[in-house]
Order: sequence, then structure tokens, then C-alpha cells
Amino acid sequence: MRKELLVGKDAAGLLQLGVRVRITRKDGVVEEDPWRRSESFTQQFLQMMESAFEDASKGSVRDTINTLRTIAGPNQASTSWMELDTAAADDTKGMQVGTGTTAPTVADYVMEALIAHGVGGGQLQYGTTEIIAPIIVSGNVELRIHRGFTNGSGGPITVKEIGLTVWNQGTYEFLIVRDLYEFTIADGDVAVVEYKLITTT
Amino acid sequence: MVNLAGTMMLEVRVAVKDKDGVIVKEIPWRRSHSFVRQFLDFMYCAFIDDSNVSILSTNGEAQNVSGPDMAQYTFLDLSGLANDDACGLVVGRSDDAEENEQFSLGQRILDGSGLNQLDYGVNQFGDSWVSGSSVYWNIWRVFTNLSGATVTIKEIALYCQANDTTTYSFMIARDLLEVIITNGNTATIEYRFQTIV
Repeated sequence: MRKELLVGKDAAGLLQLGVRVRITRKDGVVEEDPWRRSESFTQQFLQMMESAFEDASKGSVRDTINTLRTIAGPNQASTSWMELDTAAADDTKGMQVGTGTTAPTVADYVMEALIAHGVGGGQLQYGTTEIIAPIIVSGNVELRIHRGFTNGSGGPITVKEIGLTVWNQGTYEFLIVRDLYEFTIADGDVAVVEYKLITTT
Repeated sequence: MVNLAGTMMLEVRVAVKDKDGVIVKEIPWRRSHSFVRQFLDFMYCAFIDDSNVSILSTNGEAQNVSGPDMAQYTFLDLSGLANDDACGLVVGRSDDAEENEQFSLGQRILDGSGLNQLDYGVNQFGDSWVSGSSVYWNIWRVFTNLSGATVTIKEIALYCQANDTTTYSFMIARDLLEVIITNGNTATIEYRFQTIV
């Protein structure tokens, strides 16, 4: 069931994650969903924050190939700590989409059924994952993340899950957010998936 | 009861103890109010992992913070040692309302044994853990009153540190919370991060 973003007193003191999808059709018509609340930060999200807060490496963090890793804290990471911005065509990290339908849990470590980058059957072309600097919006602080997915496969593709995967030390990937969100992208159409982190005083 | 699924909540609690370790006052877990802008500024810096993100430090000046990729710098560090009143859990005496764009405590209580000072213990934390559909991580600190008089805390905050060539402090959360500590007593203040599915 879709959850609305919390507002006012109910939102005070929380870090919320909102998500929405905007589809631009071949004929230029744009359809945009309203914001809804993301369903889950995974265990890996708080483990990564822990490594920063404690200024130390952190063991037993499950990566996207189901292997427990010792991650480097920011002061130990020689290449990256919790990096999310991702180049076009890279479907291994950044914002990802898939066709899995299993309800999210804190134990999720990988997209259930990742849609690969490409123009073949059941594939989507991944744009860059972009992050926009925080701004004040209606009394909240918001940090937005978005990625475009273009369907050049020749047929419609239905996305059922979306997620955020970061990487640490330039090597290991970790799923920090996963949501069920169903939308269909017709051939030639582009879907932009957008997340926003929100804090409210 | 508001359904908080899909959020990360910050909560705080306090235990005041006398010289014999007996609890004389407790404030049970309550929701923090709240993260401030600098928290998301740091998340932005981490996600893009680039250099020179401008973030307002506790001295009121914007500092260029580099992402972890740049040179293995301290970043979002809360692990301040004993007597360090500029890193980790810190306390103050101002009752100014919480706002998104605050960058420091209104009136920080310094470490020490002088008038209106408190002795800051080391910041302590345990491993994060999973319980049910939530993940938790706690940080706590003991403040001892050796000043000879009562000290009243009215605000608490989390100060992280980051450095480039110089180390600066940055406030990422602030709360109004009154805690009265008579001379010789201690207050243990604890923050708890909780993500909820």
C-alpha cells in the first residue's frame, strides 16, 4: 500500500525518503506521480553511517553478491565510502530498477531481479545517477537523486522495484534502499525516477 | 499512532545519577527535533564523493568539505574523546527553538570544572543491530558536574568533525531538552538512530 510522506508535527525529527516517477512519452506528454514515502532503508544504510560516526572500518556488511565485507569508514576509504553518483550505462550501482515483487525488508542486499542496461528484450538504457545539492523547500531540507531510464527495447517494460546501491572503496556495492514501485515504460519512452531525502524540524 | 515505516528516526533519552550511581531522574526515549541542514549536506558530499562542498561549520563560517574519495579525511566523525567538547554529543544552555538552518548550539557548555561547565566523558557507541523490522545504532556520553553548583542543560546536539587541512566541527542535530545536574551528579545522554521498514 502506498504511504504518503509525513508532514508537520508527524514529520518533525525524521529523515524521510520520498520517491516518485515521471514518464515522458514519445509524443512529449509528461505523466508524473505524486511523491510517496519510500518503504525501506536496509541494514547496510545504518551500518555505513555507523562507520562514519565511529570513524572506523565496519565488519559484516553484506554486499550485493551476498558476501560479508569489512567496509572502510570515510577516513580509511582510499577511493570511496558511500558513493552514489554513477555514470550512464552502469547498471551495477546508483539508482537501479528491477522486476522483483517481494516485499522489502531490512535484510535486502540486492535488487531481486535487476533490469540490465541495454536495448535488448527486457532491458532499459540507464542514464547517469545525479544528486542535487540540498535546498530548503517549504520549511524542510531536501536532497534529491534522480536517474533516467530509456526504453529502446522495442516493447513495453514494466518496472516493479527500484533501489539505491552505493559503493565502498571503489570495489564493493551495497544496497541501501529498496522499494516496490510499479510503472510501465512503453518503447521509446523515458522514465525518470526521483528520490528525495527530507529532514523536518 | 503514526506509521513511521520507511523513515529514519532519531530519539534521545537521559538518566541523571547521584554520586552513588542511583538514578534520580529519567527522561525516557522521545523523538529528536531534529536533524539540521548540515546532515544532508554531508550526505550530499558522500553521495557525490567530490571535493569542496561548502558546509556551514559551528563557528558560522562555510568550510569546504571534501568527500571521502579525496584524501581519506575525517568525515561525519562523532567519536570525540573525553574532554572534547567540540565532537560527538554536546550540550548547551540556550532554549532557542530548533530550526533547519541552525549551525551551532545557542550557548555551548564547555568541558571543565568551572562555573557552568561540565566534565565531558568519552563518546561511546555499540554495534548497530537488527530487531524486528528496525535497525538501531546508539551513541551516548556521560556529563559530570564538578562545578560546585547546579548546571542546567537546555539544549543538546550532535557535532561531527571533518577536516581538509584543518579540522572543523559541524552540527547535524539539535534538541531542546532540560536536564538539571546538581553538583557531583552525572547525566548520561543517549541518542538512538532507528531505521524502520
